[in-house]
Parts: sequence; C-alpha cells; structure tokens
Amino acid sequence: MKRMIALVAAVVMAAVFAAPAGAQDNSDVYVLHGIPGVTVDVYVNGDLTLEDFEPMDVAGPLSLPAGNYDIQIFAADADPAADDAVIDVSPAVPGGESVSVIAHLAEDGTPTLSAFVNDLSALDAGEGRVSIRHTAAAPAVDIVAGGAAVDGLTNIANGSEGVVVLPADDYPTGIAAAGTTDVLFDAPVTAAAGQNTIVYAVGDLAGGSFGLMAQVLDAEAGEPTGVPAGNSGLLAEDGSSTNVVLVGGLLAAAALALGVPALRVARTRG
Amino acid sequence: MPNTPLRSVRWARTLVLVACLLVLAACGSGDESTGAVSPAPTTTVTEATTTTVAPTTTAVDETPLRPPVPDVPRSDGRFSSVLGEDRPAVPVSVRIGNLEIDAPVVPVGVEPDGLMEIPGASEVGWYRFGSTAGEAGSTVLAAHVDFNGREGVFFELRDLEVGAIVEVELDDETTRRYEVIDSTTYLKEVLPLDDVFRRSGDEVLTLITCGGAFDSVERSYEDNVVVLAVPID
Repeated sequence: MKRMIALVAAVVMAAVFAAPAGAQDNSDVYVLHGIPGVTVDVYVNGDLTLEDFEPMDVAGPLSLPAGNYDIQIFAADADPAADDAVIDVSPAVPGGESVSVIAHLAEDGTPTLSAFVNDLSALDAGEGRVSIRHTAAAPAVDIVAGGAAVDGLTNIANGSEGVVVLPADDYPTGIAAAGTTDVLFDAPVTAAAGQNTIVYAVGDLAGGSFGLMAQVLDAEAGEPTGVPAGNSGLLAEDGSSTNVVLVGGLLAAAALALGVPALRVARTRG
Repeated sequence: MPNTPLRSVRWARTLVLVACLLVLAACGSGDESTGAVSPAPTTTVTEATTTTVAPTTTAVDETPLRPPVPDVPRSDGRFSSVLGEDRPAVPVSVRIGNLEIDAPVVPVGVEPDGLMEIPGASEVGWYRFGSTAGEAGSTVLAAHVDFNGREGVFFELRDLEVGAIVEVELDDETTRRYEVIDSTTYLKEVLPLDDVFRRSGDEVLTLITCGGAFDSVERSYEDNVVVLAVPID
C-alpha cells in the first residue's frame, strides 16, 4: 500500500508541476546576496536552494508560481536544525513578473531581505530604464548629476527604489545623502536601450564595505516606426519597377522571423 | 492503430503504462479491467514500475537526508562585472561583392519622430539599439537608395540575389560572412518592424533600403526592400 501511495503522490506531483493551477504565469525570481563578508546557505520552503552563496553574487532566475515563500538564510557553516537563521522571512512573490529578492543590510545595519518587482514593460526605441535600489546600511539618498538631483531618483530610502526612463546613454552620476549634492560615491548609470539596468547600493557606507551590484534585464524594447531610405526618385528614372507584396508580406514576415529560406514564396525578385 | 507490428507493441506498452498509472492513481489497486489492454503486458509493466518506485518508498520511511540542491545558475553581481563587460564588436564596413559595394558603416539610432536614422548617401547605418553581428537577433544595416539627388549605397540592393555573399567588418578587425536567403519588397505600411528589429532568436543580417513607386510630393518611396542573410562561418 505504501508503494501505491508513493506512486499516487508521484503522479499527483507530476500533474501539479506539468500544469500549474490558475491562469497566472510563474515569475522569474532572482536572488542577490548584498551582505558583505558572509557566505550563506539559502533555504526556500525548508529546502536548501543555494549552498555557499557568496556575497555580491546573483542566482537565478528561478521559475516560481505566485505565493509566499519561507526564506531562511544561515551562515554557510551553520546547522539549520540547531542554529538561528540570519534572516527568516516569508516574502510574497507575485505571478507573471520578474522579481529580484536581495539579502541586504537595513539602514541600521541588521540583515534583512527585500523583494523588488523588475519593471520590464515596453520602452520606446532608443530608451532605457534605470532602477536605483537602496539596499545599504545608510540613510536615504539622492542620485545627482551635474550638481543637481536627478528627477525620479531622489529621497530613495533603504528597501526602496527610484526608477527612470532615459535616452540610451552613459550618465556619470553619484550618490549623495538625500537633500544634498555632495557625491559620496560614484554611481555611473548606463541606460541601455530596451533594458532595465538595475543598480543596488549594498554594504555599510560608514563601515567601509559599501559597494554596488547590478542586474541588466531585457525589457520589451520598442523599435523604430519606419525606415525612410530614399528621397530623390532616382529609382523611377532608372526604369526599375518593383512589385509590391501585400498578401505575401505575411509569409515573408514569417520567413524573417524564422529565418526560413523555404518561405521565399513572397520574394518579388529573383 | 498503426499497422507496423513493432510500433503497435510500443504503443500498447505506452498505453498500458499510462492506464496503469491512471488506475493506480484512481483507486490504488492493480485492477486489470482496462478494456482492450491485454493482461500479460500489464503485469510486466506493473512489476517494472514497482521496482522503480521501491527506493522512493524507502527514502520516505527514513529520516530524509539533506534534499538535493537545485542547480540554480549563479553569476557575479558586482556592478563592475555586470556593466564593465567588454562591449561586443560593432560593424564598421560592409562589402557586397556582387554589387561592388564597399561602404563604411556608422552607428545610428532613431529620429525624434521615431523613424530610423539613415546616414548620408555614401554610408550605411547600423541600428545601434538592436543586435550586432554575431549576436542573436537581427543586425540591421540600412542605407539610402538615393539621397538628395545622388544614388545611395544601397541603390542596387533590390537586385541582390539569393546566395550572394555579404561581408561585415567589425571594429575588432574580424569579418563576419553572410549568405543572402531572401529579398522581399514591402509596402512601408506593412513592413514587419517587430521582425526587422527583433533582438532575439536566430542571428540574421537585415539589409534595408527604399524602393517601389516614388511619391514626388512627399519625396518618399512607397516600399522598403528588405534583404535577409544568414551567417555562413
């Protein structure tokens, strides 16, 4: 009978994993280690998920259904049955999102954990999104450029973020205490087209362990609205004539998407 | 049922296995009233299944050992590692022997109105917000068919045939070779921009210019000529 139960359990498990309940997709979950100096083991719902996880490392993505997850973080050599967890929390993971969970220091220096949803929504062509996340033992900060605070990146407190969309480019910027413009730490920001560039301030500003982590995730990139590549009408004088594809356009689009030479049906010229 | 004997046996085995699992799952018994399935294979498969399951049962009975650690990909999340990565090589020139084209390539973006930037008559624009040669997705090179009364670099692009070779020289002094697999003319209204500028999927080199009827009032052509080429190295 035990065999039967085990088998039934296996079948049920298989069914559960093959077809997650509900319409909501899983989330892509990244785990970041932003506490300097401590190698840790990360347990998710009681299972050892990341062993010997080093500071400044990123793990993932893990594909997880929506729900609350028990996350316990122990020093790497600790015994989870006997020792206390450094961090023991149950953050909620939403469905269908990109989520970054970071172990970090709170403003007062105690270890904590924050979960951020990564904004990967549509961007116009040539635009990049930048997220600045304050996960360091330090008071609220402003991001400053050219002697002034950057709109949308001010008064960012520990455990929160500022998000801006900028023309893709490099922006020499710095971190200053909120309300001031004295740069305490350089935070060069690159807005990469079609991506969310995420910068984490980690460690302890006063204690000298301050540093930056980063993630660059693909967002929904916009594309140009057209390709205007001629303005003189020389083609007509050249006597050429080109047939216009209408119906075939769809097939050719498929060929373009798949790189399939066999769909050359839509080709208008040999 | 398939008429190949061997295949039939395999099918029967699969069915039996599935039926077995279903029956076991439903009522926890080895009842063999599964219709068309013959008893003999059922027994065989049940035994095989039982053997496989046995160790699991044992493991459940005993104190569980440390569960296996899932293989989660890890990477260095230091800012300098993530953002200091060497940027990929970008196109600096393009050669198309069949058309006697050998032209410099310059990085371009988008105009304020959202259209792709196109350089002057003698240069080719590489869409710098998309993929570069050697990366997944579409590397887009666009050039004028004509510009301010002069023939542009891609004046004859519409004549480029399938099988022609296109060479893209990169700023790391390497050259990537492509072979043309398709040439299509689209009304601009139906140009599949999502595909032309796609940033993932198989690598393709996309050469674009204008073509078709010329609107002398708008000073604009009605079509885009799109040539696709795939890497051959």
